[in-house]
Amino acid sequence: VKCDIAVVGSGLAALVATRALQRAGRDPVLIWPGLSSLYFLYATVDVLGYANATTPEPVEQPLNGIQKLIADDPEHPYALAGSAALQEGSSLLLEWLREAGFNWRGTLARNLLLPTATGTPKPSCLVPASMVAGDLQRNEPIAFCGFDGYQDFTPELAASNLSRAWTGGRRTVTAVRVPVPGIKPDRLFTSIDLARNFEDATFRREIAGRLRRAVSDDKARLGMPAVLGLTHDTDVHAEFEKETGHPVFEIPTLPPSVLGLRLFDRLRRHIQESGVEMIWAAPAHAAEVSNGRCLRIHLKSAGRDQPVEARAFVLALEDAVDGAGRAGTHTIRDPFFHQALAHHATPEERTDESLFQPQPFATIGYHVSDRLQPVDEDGRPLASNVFVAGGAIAGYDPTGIKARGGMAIATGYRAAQEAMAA
Amino acid sequence: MVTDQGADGATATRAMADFLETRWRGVRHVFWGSQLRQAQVTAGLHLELFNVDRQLRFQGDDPQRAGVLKVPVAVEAVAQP
Repeated sequence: VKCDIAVVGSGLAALVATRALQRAGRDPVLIWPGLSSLYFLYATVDVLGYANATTPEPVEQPLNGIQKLIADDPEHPYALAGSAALQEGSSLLLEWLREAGFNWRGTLARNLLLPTATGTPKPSCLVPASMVAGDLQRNEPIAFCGFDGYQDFTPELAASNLSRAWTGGRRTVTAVRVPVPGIKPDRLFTSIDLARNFEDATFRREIAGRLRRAVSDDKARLGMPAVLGLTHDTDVHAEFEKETGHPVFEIPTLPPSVLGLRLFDRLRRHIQESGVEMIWAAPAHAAEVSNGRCLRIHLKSAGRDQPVEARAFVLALEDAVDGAGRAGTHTIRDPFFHQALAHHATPEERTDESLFQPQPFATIGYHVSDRLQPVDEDGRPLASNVFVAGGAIAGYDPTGIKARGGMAIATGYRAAQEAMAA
Repeated sequence: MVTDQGADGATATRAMADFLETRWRGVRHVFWGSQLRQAQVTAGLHLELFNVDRQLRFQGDDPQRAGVLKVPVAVEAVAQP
């Protein structure tokens, strides 16, 4: 394969980079190493939820917060990408979402505070319109709604936690459960099963009727697990609000995450239909470098070696499930230049003793130049026409500050700009 | 726990966190290859999708003494950009 610019990755950083290249009139090829992490971790686009990994105070104005973060920590991936990349990249993404048929809301100027499935308030920036009614800056009472036999959402837990956190018991937060028509409670069923059923009007009206009877407060908003339609979610949400007579908001669930599926499937299909070539399920295993430039990368495709030649490369690896690093027991290597990204005497050094603390493994990645080129120990680019975005950048840890989407957008967009200039 | 035993949310969340912590301590010795990827997903789910780290911080060690979040005053509806 010969192309203009090759983007490697399957997360939001890769999608934003590819879209930016396409919109600029370039001819990108998207190399998809495997199943996307969007499925697992993306429901909303979180830009900056907290100023650091431990503070309990949420950030109200994400863009201001990032400008402060950049001033305080010039090595942070947000600082490397620049706040302009976040702003331009977010506009690009929101415009793309509209074009691809999504209805999303939010601005970089302000976070929403939305309840998670455990009833914990969480700051998010750009969100599907079907989640907006959950904003805790509004005062209406909330009724969490679950389904008999559905194990990925416990309305009673969410109600108890949120009642205490949000109001200290002053606002009304309740929990109801209804049986699902056509599904016996002892059958195991997932969010996907429910989401598919919700596209059927008869099923939906039956559930709406049961909820209307179960929720006594006419003013309550209904907090539902995100199962309101698999592909026609915008219509399903609007219809369901009419049918129940209440404002309704969706709450992200454990995998399989319907919100992640919707986002990923539709954007991928849209970019393919708009003419971007994709190479599927092909993990990269080497970069061929000559005179300081990367000539081609080699993929393992259908059991054989497939070289991809390009003028520039964007390595937008999400690191959780894309395989940005090959982790042995002591050394973690990158799949392109075979550099040691980290050494550990024992594997335990990669993790904190507590799951709920920042994890050392999260920050492992390529050290990059101020143009996001991967560099060697002396700070020299490994290849002048290769640019890194997303979780494969060293020091990239969006988990504690709740910034996964924003960091992916900013670095993906910036890497695309650099690739065009290379 | 909340449905079967009538526990409150803070107690149930603490019990879930204790269970996850114990399991984490057991498996963190084998985090290489695909196990490391799985660890990243596990941490991401609980911390990012659920925000459980903030839930624990905010409810403290004693579920009976959980705090109340300071919610910014209500502002006008979010504009579509």
